[in-house]
Amino acid sequence: MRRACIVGCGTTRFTTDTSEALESVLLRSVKNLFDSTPECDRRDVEAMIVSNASGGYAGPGSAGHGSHGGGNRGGRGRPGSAGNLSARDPHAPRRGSGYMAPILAELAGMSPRAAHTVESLCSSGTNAIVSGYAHVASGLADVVLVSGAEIRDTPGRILWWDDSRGEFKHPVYWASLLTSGYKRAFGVSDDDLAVIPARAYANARSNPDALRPEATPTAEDVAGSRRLTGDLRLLDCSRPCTGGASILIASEDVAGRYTDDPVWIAGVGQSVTSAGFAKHQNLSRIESARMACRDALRMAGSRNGSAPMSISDVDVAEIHDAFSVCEPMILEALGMAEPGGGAAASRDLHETASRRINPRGGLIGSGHPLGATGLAQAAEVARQLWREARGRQADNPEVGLVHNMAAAGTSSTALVMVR
Amino acid sequence: MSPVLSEFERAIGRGLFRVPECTECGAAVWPPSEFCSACLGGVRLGLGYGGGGVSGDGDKRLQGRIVECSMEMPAGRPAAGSVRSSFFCLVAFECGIRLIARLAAPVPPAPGDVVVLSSCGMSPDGAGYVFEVSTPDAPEDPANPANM
Repeated sequence: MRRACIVGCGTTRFTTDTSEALESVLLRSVKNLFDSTPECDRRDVEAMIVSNASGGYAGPGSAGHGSHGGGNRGGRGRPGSAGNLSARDPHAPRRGSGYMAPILAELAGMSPRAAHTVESLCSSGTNAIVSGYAHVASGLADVVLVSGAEIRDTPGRILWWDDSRGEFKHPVYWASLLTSGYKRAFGVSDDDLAVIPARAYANARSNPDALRPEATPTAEDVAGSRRLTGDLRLLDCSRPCTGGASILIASEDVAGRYTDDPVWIAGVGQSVTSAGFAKHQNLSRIESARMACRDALRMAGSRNGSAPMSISDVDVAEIHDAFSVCEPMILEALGMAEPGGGAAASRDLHETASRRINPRGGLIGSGHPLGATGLAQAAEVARQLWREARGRQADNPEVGLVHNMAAAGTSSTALVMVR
Repeated sequence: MSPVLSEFERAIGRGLFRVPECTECGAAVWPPSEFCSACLGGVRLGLGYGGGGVSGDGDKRLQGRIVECSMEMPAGRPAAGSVRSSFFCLVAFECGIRLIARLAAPVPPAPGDVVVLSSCGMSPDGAGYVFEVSTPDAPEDPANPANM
């Protein structure tokens, strides 16, 4: 396999705007990428991978169906089912379309050999990166553009297929059950978890792309925010939003044309334990995160040809804190904390104002545009390794890690990135 | 929609939970599917379970234990006279099926508590199935519409 590296990235501001077309958000992140990577000619791009949690196609006017958004199980007549395909609400914003990768190619003036879309709900972004990585590593392409975006009211927020959730399909319900399970297993309190959003928002203040960088809730504010369930408060939750992010992956053979400081994708790990939430056998841990990160570190070590890489080698990480409880659970899955020690580790990060974990604010602080999230995480780690993160810069990082997951942690993807 | 799924949804629409079972290995197949995830055998619907006045096959009740639970926050004021709160619980049934169900109870349930499936159906908004469990022999709460 050939080595592959990130040579450029571009991101958009995260907003609450639902009037934008998906392709417009994608295109803006692509423009930002090429503006900041002038050495790369768009004609060099041989493959394009688009990431979107609705597969690119939300359907004309299908998104605004009560609080549920659209659906991805239309065959059973769930909300958002296709219905009359010939009828289009002329007042509905253009949510997106199938064939989104070729559409983006045309709009960006590119004619790649391959262009396709990757959908894996919240981890669409890193799975698209893995697809781009595979194109380069296998020799199918030398330069791959990976671009992800989401509109805030995307139907990708809810896994309608999962009938084991009954009527409790919204993510706040699985998050509540994981929170309850984690607190019960390890004697963790709501107050212990309240520091997590406080640190996330504090870090996001220096992230110009963040949804609300001006927000400065304290742990007390989190504790006092509206209760959504017995175990979840409003400020424990990341917010769906509109946003885009793109990265450019190049082979080791051509990377030198674009940069003298590539960020290598040294390790890739992926794990799928199930699709349905009810298959979780242990609600106090996220097994897919543990396996994906283990495999990514193992691959990074073997690629280096030196001693196996361990989590202690990771200087900066972007992890999938969709809800407060996810942070300690993932810290434990990564091996950054012992089982049950994740909440104390999160408190330590808070008290030391550390930038090692989620320096841009994570999903809670920055917002969560599903199809862009994994790409924004990877872009942040690349900027950290390039020392271009300005006010949120971690201390001299050489090794970074991205963890991105979907559907209550039933699947995870991890990337190890080295300078 | 596959015949098995169609049949399952007709039954659950009548308040009857028919357990999808593999014709080869006998495993419960959940959520319902055309083929068994363990051996890819065919699937048939077993006997139905009802409860709480729903017509089922005999007096059988599907029993399980709570794996984890949390409390729903009422959107408005609780119904007058109700002394129960509403919880959502991940329940592991003895037939091998795990799902999230609503439970109305006067005190918070705990993992390991025994419950039975008391009702099931299709969501009025078409968003999927709805399940309710109760503790065995729990008295009905007349102020709770779920028990009416």
